[in-house]
Amino acid sequence: MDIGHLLETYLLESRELLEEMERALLEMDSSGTSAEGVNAVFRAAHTIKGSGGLFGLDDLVAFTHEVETVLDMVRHGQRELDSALIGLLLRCRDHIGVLVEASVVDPKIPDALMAQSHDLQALLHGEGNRPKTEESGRLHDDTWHISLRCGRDLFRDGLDPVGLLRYLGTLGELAHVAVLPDSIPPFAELDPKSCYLGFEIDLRTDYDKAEIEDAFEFVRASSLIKLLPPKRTPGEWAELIDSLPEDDVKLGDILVRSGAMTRAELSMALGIQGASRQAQPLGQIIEALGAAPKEAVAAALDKQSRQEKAKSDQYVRVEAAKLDVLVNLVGELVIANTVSALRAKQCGDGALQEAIKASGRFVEQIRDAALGLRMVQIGGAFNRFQRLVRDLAQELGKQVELTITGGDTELDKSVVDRIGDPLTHMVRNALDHGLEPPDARLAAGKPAAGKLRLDAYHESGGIVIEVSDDGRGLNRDKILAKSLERGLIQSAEGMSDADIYQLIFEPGFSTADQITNVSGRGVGMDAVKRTIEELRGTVEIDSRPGQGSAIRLRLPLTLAIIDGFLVASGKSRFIIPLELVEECVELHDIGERDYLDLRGEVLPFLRLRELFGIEGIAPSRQIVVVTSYAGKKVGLLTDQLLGELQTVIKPLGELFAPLKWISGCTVLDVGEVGLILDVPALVAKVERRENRVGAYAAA
Amino acid sequence: MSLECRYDKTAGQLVLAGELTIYRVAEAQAAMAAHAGAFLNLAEIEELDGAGLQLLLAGRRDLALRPGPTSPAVQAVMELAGVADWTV
Repeated sequence: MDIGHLLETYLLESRELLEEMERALLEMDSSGTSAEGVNAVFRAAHTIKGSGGLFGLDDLVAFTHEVETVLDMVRHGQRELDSALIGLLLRCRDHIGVLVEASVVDPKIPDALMAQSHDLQALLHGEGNRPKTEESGRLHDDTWHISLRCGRDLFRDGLDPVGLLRYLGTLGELAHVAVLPDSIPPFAELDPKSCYLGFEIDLRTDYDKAEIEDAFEFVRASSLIKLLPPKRTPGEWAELIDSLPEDDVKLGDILVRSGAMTRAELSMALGIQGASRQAQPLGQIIEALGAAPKEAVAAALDKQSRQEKAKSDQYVRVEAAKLDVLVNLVGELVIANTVSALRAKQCGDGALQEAIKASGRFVEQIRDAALGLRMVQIGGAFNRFQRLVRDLAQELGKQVELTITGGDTELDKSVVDRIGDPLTHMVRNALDHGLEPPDARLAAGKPAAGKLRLDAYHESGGIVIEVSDDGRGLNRDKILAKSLERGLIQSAEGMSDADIYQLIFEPGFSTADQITNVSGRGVGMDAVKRTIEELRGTVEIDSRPGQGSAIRLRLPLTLAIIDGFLVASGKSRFIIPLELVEECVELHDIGERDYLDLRGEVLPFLRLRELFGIEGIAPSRQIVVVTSYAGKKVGLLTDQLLGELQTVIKPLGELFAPLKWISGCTVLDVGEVGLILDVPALVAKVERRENRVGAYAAA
Repeated sequence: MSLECRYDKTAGQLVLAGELTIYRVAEAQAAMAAHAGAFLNLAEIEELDGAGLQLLLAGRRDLALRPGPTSPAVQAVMELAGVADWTV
């Protein structure tokens, strides 16, 4: 048995478990403790400890054991999982990660790390002695429990929930009422004539169900009303909590505080809903419930089966290097097939052409399948920002709500791996420079908590990743002043706002008044831009003063292969990425102009002959290939169209690095080389030309 | 009945007086939005309904408006609706 190999697997598994542990802790930090979450954390620690024991990593096992002990107390309700403990457990998680990495190299942990272990253990125990707060007992189970979620139009219909409460008061005794303000939209967006209120009401009364329901006759059509009779079972609670829109745990807390149910009943009720990862919990739960209503059990069974299904998704772990070899081979296969197809065409053998076309279809499918293997969801890269944002927000004394969408968008693993650092930098910047402290936000009429968004989506053959915030936006004047001071520009004349925003990507630029731990050291945004450009992507900034800013990264789906459109100018062959080609237009008598009239639209174009210094006389009939990138259209003037092909991008050597307008090359036919045009760079070139002309025209 | 909104600069108080109901919430919303972080003086409120209550809860949550003195009418509604923590 190869121990080294097993250790490698252990390392990978531990990293995944630690990620899961972090995710569960953060989730509980933001939306409250759940049995499922605690179990997930416990399981992760337990598995790392167990497997570590197999390898004899004693120091790691000892520390993880301490963490597990504390988690076990939480699981059994002997210790409360509050924000402070979650913070401590997150630190322990990090430490376990360090220990795992270190012990795989050498099972004997260095003294410095051991000292850290001891410190954390002391903290775990120091807090561990604090007993959990006293169970709140049930105050009343002789009441009717009423959950009311008002309809939006309640006020407009001339009804008032306060009046309704008054009326309920006349039916008996209002033992407890709790108002739920959570559904009320942020103040600035609130339409005060729409009703967003919800109430949890405990009513002690001798009237029966039908008579109580009569009180709600007028609101019943538009509102959500749930009635629970006295002497409820946990199963009925579970059903109620499940049917209401609020977060289960939070709502449960409100119910416990109102005295309608006990903490034990709540955990039992929530147990039905979540904690079903162990081997045979369902039987136990049903047993514990006693006379649970059929529907509640059915709901629980349904939830459990859904979880089973998710678990049964199987994976095979493959070394990334093996995948790279496969993709490279497929690339060569694509080239070889293209060459065969061209040859077959030249010798005019129809049957051979057919045969090669058929194999070409399979090659295409193999290409897609092979590239698909390298595709990973970007969600993994996004999720670590939960932690980053939480920690940073705390450090900076800001409140932040992070929203992530498009986590299931897929892109090439090598791209995902390389955008991690740029994304981190952008998120840090948004938090540090973009979002204001809570008091400044309130003064500006915004909610105290800032909004930070991470979005990923597909757009015209590529992927867009966007980091946006609703903070103060980029400060145009400050950027300008700094750029002048640093000598990045000589004057601001003729610069659009977009040009000025681009200056933050210049090396050595930073406008932070105050250099913080987080950002503001003047390294970064230029590195972000460089990395993205190396990935054949672009960076775009949108900013509105006082309203926020957004930075968009546009990236290609894959780095290895493109579908291209082959064109010729003189004897040179060029390839334009097919997804950027819009249409082709024939031109006669071009003359000196740089623009053409495309159905009433002014389309600027570039001459490939001029751009690449191609000698010889251009034919009188030339063709403009209309390309579009990031919403801007540019024409490329060529001699001849040669058709579509798919091709493998070969990077150009160092020697060709100064070549602009070319992003790579490819082998077309035996001995013939095609140059892949860098359309984004060409579009940018034309845009600069336009601005200059515009500035002249203005002057 | 009408609603009067005035800002007492020296005390940092936004005083709402009269009727805080569905008919007046739009005025109240504008006044509150202009004075985020102020104390809310509700001692002269004579009538409060669900719409007014909703606005008060949102203002406390999102504008950091701080509870100030309340009138008996306000106290009665707060008690009825289970808003236990609207205290100075």
